[in-house]
Order: sequence, then C-alpha cells, then structure tokens
Amino acid sequence: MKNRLKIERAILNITQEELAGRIGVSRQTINSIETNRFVPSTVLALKLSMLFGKSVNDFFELDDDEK
Amino acid sequence: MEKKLKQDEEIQKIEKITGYQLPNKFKIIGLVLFVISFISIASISFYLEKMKYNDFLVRLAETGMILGLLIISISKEKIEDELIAKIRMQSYNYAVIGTVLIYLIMPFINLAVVASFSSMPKMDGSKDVAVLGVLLTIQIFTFRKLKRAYNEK
Repeated sequence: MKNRLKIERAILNITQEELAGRIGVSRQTINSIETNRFVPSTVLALKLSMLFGKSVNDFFELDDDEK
Repeated sequence: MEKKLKQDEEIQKIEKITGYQLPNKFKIIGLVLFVISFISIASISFYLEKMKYNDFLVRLAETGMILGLLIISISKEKIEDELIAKIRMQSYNYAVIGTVLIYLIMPFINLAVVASFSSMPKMDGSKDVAVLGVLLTIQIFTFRKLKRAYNEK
C-alpha cells in the first residue's frame, strides 16, 4: 500500500512528532507508515482522515499487485 | 443472538488475558528482579553449595529470574499503539517457534557431543517435551477457539 502521508503532513506543516501526538500514537508509528513498513488500522486511517480533512482514499492507495 | 453473545464473551475472555499489561515503570522492576535473581543463583551455587535448602533457594532465584522476564515482557511501552501491538505479537510468535525448534534440536546435539566422549551417552531434555507440548496445545486451542468466535454470524 502506498500513501501520501508525508505530503499531507508537509501541507499542514507539522512534524512527525506533532502528528503522532494529535492522533495518539508514537513518532515511530508515523515514520513506519510514511516509509510503507506498517499499514495502519481503519481506526487510525480515519483519525488521519479527520485530521487532514480528506477522504482516506486521498492519501492511501493500493499497490498494483493488491488490486 | 444468544450464540453471538456467547462468542463475544469468549473473545473478551481471551482478550482480558492477552490484553493485560502492566504499566511502563514495571519494566525497571522486572529488570531489577531479573538481575538480583541472576546474581543470587551464582551466589547460592558458590557460597551456599552445601546448605540444606540449596536446591530450594536456587529454584526460588530461578523463579524470580523468569518472573522478572515475564514482567518486562508484559509491561507497556511509553506509548502503546497498534504498531507496538503488532511488534509484540510478532515477537511472541518468533519466541514460540524459536523456542520449540531450539529445544527440539538441542538434546540431539548434546547427545552427539556427549557420545563422542562417553560410551554410555544419555538423552536429556525429556521434561522440555511436556512444556513444548503444553505451549503448542494452548496455542492451537486458543487459535481454534478465537477463529470460531470471530467467524460466528
């Protein structure tokens, strides 16, 4: 799964630490999502969606082999 | 409906055990307990070798050592989130499979080594088989129980 978390975070001009604090996870979790090492749960994805004010589909996308 | 509630209860019952965690500060307590117990084992074996309750004291220290590790294992991280939950699950998985494989293979390696020095080599590790059996049986039964509970309509 690909994501645009880093870009969305840059748009909001916040650090990984700040984003992590806002959705109640660790900085390492945000870093792992950004580097595609960890796929978050629906709950976490929806929290991010609320924070960015965008649909989950706008910043998470399935890889070609996952479609 | 009643069946669904029963399955939910099953899941909650298991989650109560698997989800139970000690606060983060217990990591230090576990580490201290482990170190003290570890030093105690060496001290008891060295200084109290001929004492009447030597075996009991060694066992007590060994129990403390394992309890210390267990406390470290079930203590929360500073920030406990879903990545940590995943990492914890992976590490338990790795630990179980690794332990089973090591304890299955080690007695044969020991036997091979001892056989090269002794004419009457003895196979050890028979108690390990029971522990490994219990470990895997619990895992298989819990897996099946949870699978059934989650799949129930």
